[in-house]
Amino acid sequence: MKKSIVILLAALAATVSNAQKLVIKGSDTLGAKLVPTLAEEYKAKNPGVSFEIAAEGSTTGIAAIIDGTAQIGMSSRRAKATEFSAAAAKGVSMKPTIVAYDGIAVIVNEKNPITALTKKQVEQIFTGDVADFSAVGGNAGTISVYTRNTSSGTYSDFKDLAMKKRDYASSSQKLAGNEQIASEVAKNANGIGYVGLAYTKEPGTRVIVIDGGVPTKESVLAKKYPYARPTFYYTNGDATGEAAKFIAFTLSDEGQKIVEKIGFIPVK
Amino acid sequence: MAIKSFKWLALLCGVSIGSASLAHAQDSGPLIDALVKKGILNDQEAEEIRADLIKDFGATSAGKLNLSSALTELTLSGDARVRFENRSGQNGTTGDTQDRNRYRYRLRLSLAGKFQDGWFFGTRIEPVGNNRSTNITAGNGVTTTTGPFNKEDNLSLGQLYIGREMGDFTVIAGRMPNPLVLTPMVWDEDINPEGLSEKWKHEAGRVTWMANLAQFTYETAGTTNSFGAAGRQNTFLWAFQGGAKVKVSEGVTVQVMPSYYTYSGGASSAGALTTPNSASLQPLGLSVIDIPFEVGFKIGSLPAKVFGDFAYNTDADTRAKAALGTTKYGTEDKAYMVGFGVGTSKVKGDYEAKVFYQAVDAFALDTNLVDSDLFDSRTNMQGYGVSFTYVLSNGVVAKLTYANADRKNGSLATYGAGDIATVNLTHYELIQADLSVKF
Repeated sequence: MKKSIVILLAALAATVSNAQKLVIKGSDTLGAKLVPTLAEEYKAKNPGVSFEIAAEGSTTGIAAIIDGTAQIGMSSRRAKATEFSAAAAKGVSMKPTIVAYDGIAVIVNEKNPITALTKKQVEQIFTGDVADFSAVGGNAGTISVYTRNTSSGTYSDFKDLAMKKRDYASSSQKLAGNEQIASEVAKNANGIGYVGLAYTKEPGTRVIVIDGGVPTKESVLAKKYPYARPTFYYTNGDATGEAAKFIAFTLSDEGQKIVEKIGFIPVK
Repeated sequence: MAIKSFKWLALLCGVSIGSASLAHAQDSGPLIDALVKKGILNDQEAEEIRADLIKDFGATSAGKLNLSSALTELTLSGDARVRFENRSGQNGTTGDTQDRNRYRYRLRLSLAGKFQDGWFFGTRIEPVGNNRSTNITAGNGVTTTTGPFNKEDNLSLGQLYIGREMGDFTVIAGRMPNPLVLTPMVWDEDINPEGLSEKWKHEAGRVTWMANLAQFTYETAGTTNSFGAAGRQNTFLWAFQGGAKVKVSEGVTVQVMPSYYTYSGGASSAGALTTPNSASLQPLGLSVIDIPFEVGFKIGSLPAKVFGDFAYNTDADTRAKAALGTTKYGTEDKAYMVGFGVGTSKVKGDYEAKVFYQAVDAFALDTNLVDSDLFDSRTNMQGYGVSFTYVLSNGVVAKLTYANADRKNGSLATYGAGDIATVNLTHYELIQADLSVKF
């Protein structure tokens, strides 16, 4: 009996030690839908693997790689020079891997008669230079600008791509995720915001044409859509172990099908 | 491996052609994008190279600087100068002459920045807290305990201002470079006034209209309503200036900037005009109309100018009475300067020569503001000055200055706090030899 208990405990210990936990932190754009879906699919094929996914913004993902608190950092933006320096100071060599492409779509409420804007008008709206839709050809109404919060890669990318790095309007409302922005715009006839491609199907919203273009697979891959961008996994050097396998799965045909199904544009 | 090496080689060649330094590698984004478009790199390779370049840049000196992302521009500049100076003056009471030879040096270090929406700031560190001089004098401050080479210098905040430019209109607050159009007859150029200024400049065809307003804190009273004591007021200098610069024809310009200076309050109780060799903290009897002007033209290919200034103190009676107890010399109320300059001093080989004549009545100007060098910070002086500047190399300038002046009205003191220790300065001479670097 005593011998049986020892064997049972040993077997249990062996099971625990074989269980792999993959910690992934960072971008809400990637982490709200895409990576959890990929993780579920991966777990189905690798039952011993568990995931801890925290989608609180790209900045947190890059910080987690620098701090060594995650194996993969999700990011919808490139790491900044200061982040590379901080990583180097800790002996971390950040490596980016493109896992999907995205186009940041500008969305308005479906009742808004505006269907198209120029890049200049988008800059004016999001910086607060223009505060009423009548100034850009719409009905009179004070514009409600919805943006992501400051730890978001999309927040940072949109400033770079659409606003000439200017500050957002002081009246803009900062929200935690793409889904919240889409939801608020759907409820507010004078709302305008931006979301990743995977979040453009929210009922009650409409994607705005920018300088004649909308974010599609073709326009993003051809880099013709002005707010197109790659999205990344960051790792400390070349990934190893389960992290390397999960990245390989993400880039596999099967993984990239999931990428497309969720609404992103596959890398191949 | 060979393919990857080729791609790096292609990129580095491009970087070399484009910027000549790997320190500029972080600016290689467009080049990397172009290589992707041409199919030399794929997106993943481009990202890895981009990351490597940023890592390499981060290891350079420039890459270790971490500036606020809110800044759109940051400028570090300044100047350093070594000077020999001789100033001598004759005491009208004793007939004796006093000489002073000084070996002086200074460093002024400026840090200025711009933000979005027209906001900006500026700072300047200076080695001496004196309002009209930033020079350290070699050998000064020696005591029996310190011995020679004593460091008398301290770091002072020469300038600190925040402003905003809104089209033609600029507002500045703090201790600032003088925002007024001026001459050394009225303002020592080392003075960085404190307070507020508003500037407007508008070009309309051949005319540039300008208006400068200033509200300077001349002296603070500290507590203005102290317990159980009579109230005192802060003293302010108010400046109103408006005029224009007109382009008369190609190479010929005329600028006239009529100004008015007045004061309010009276923080200091020092009746310093009765001890006229001291600085007057109390700007009593000053209500000055001032008209600086400049006519620019060319002599051959050289720029030249006739410049000058005329000032009239409409309240000189009050000032004369404060000093002498009578208004008899209230007519000592005018000052003027006229000069000629030729050449420029911008790049190596440039030279510039200037000559001027200046006469300042005893009660015409604020003795706390006039230039501290040319006529020893004094009024009731008349004389001339000449200077010659030569640019030895870009940013390296040699300058010689000579001034020679006499007491204007022999019945009156030479008011002001100068370096020559007499109130009856009958003759004054100044020689300065400067070597400066500007960066």
